[in-house]
Amino acid sequence: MELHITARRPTLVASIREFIAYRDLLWILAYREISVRYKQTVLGFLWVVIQPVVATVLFTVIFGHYAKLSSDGIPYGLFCFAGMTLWGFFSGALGRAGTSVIADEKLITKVYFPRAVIPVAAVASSGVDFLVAFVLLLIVACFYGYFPGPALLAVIPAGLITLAASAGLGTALAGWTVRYRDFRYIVPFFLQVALYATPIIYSSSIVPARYRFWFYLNPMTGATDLFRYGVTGHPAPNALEIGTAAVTGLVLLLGGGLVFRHVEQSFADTI
Amino acid sequence: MKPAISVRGISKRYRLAHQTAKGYRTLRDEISDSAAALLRGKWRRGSTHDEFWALRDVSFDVAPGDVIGIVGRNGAGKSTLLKILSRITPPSDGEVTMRGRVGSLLEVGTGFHPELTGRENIFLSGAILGMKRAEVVSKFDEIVAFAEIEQFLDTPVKRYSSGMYVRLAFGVAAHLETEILLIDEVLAVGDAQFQKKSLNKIQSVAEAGRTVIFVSHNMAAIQTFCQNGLLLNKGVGVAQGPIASIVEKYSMLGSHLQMEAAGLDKRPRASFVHGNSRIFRVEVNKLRPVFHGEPLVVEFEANLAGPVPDLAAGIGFSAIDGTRLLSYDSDLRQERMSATGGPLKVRIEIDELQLQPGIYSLDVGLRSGNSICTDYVGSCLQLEVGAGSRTPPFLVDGAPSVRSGARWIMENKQVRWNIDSLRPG
Repeated sequence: MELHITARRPTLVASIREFIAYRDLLWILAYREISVRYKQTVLGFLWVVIQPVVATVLFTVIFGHYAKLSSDGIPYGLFCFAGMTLWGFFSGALGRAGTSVIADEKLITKVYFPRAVIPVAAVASSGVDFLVAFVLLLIVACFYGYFPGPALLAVIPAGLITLAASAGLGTALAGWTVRYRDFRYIVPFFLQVALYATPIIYSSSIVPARYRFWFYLNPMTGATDLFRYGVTGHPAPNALEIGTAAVTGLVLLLGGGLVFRHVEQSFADTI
Repeated sequence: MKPAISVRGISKRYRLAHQTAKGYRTLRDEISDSAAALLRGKWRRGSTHDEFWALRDVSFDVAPGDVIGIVGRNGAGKSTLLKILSRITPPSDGEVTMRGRVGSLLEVGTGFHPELTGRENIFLSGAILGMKRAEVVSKFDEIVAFAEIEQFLDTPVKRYSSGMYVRLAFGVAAHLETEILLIDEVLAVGDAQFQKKSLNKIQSVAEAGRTVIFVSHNMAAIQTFCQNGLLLNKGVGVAQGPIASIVEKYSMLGSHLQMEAAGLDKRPRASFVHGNSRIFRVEVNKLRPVFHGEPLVVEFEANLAGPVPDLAAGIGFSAIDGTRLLSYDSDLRQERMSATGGPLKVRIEIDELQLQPGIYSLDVGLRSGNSICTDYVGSCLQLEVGAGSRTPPFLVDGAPSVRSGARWIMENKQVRWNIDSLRPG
């Protein structure tokens, strides 16, 4: 085995191969994130579901009860909770990934491993939280009388699109944050705006036709519609919409990876 | 046989930014700089940066199974070289080829998380150092036995004593099985007994035919483990060869500093000197390098023109600015020597030098009774105190000062610590 170290960055193939070789580290970092997060808390893992539940209750009262937003015939509480569950995955992943590299400054300056493992582990930890919240969502759906059928399989592509989009954006944000600490403030703000640009608290059916192209360019739009279809039988998005979400999700994943590759070499010197 | 490590023309350049005292840039800095640059008519930023070469065109080879020590003063580029070899930072130029799996130990406890248990941290730290899960599992019992923490495996490491923490951290690192191992200063931790244990472990690594690059300011350890050495000075590789010659060359690097001063009787004396004794020669440590925490011998010679019934001698160490930091007097207990005229030899033996690494000037003097200074030579020579084998890393780059031991009692909610730094290490 020969290893060459030069000023040039290794090839993309070599980087991907190395990332895969370090998968054990990915899982244990995700485990660390989850385990440390809830240590010495009274409610422990319950915190995973408290956030989406409280947000859902608030939105249900304000938008469902008073503003009477359309939820396409599905009870607003369930409609919103389904959206919030998937959104929690996305926003949690971005929030954690963004600051993940600077939080592990000591590791970056003391030991080598593929740096992308850190933000991807942060995304994975949010994915585990999502799986827990998803189980609660299924229980809530049954409570509302919506029992899962074969359509439930649609949550898999919906989850994968969300994973791709958040891993891509998350790694890019993690890389940029090392250089510009501004991103620590930009990310929460961005997530707040993005929540309203995605059909979480309202239905995509209320978006006027002339904006639909731009609306569906957001991969979370297609993913949310697909996810809702899987859990509640909400009308499914068409193939074009799903395809758009899948393509933009992949573009984000690739783009984020390339951005990270571009900045990661100087991490130890600039962090 | 091909070398295990070949380093060809490695350089590392750092750009020293002028404006960012906080060490990182904000978007606002970038935008305002770019705007200012535009106004001045030059777009490319970077022209106002100072360059600093941490390493410049360093080349060397390490044969398989060789244990090579890298020595040099602070800022010579040792750490930068190790960071490049361990891929933490890329070189600015040049190429390194490593043949074999590489592991690096630049710190004890890399990646340890205080909230996680000992068991969890073994897996975490192992994975960070590049071990596969299966590898950690197979070494797990050995690591636990080495660290002697069986009962505390499921306790968060934040509740560990510092000794347990270091043992566990070193235990994981020591069981990293790679063909090439890069080690930096890991030994300067833990108590004396544990240091010995970790030195033994490193020794066995060295004897197992693995290629090791070892960076330390501990010359004794370097000479014990390494067959060959590389001497770096100001980012440039100065010499490579058998370790004994490298360590010798290293100590010669300080030769611009004097270890002896002769002809002192011809120097002018200050007005407070009243007497006819004249110090003419001073020698430090038999011309051998001076290390913090290790013995120091200062000798000086004088001529006494007549008898002195109550003679006392003294030496002092001052910072370069003249501030006296440490003094020794022969009459600290009011015991004085009755000397006849003629030549006088004075020899001062210090068991553990308390001056931390740095550059000091030496003052010597003779006194009669309590007040009459019969001779005094201020800053007769300048000497450099190097880091000794037991010097903790936080002292290595410190400013000139005196460090003393004491008995420490530290109490916190659950723990009470007694540390006796007076006892001999």
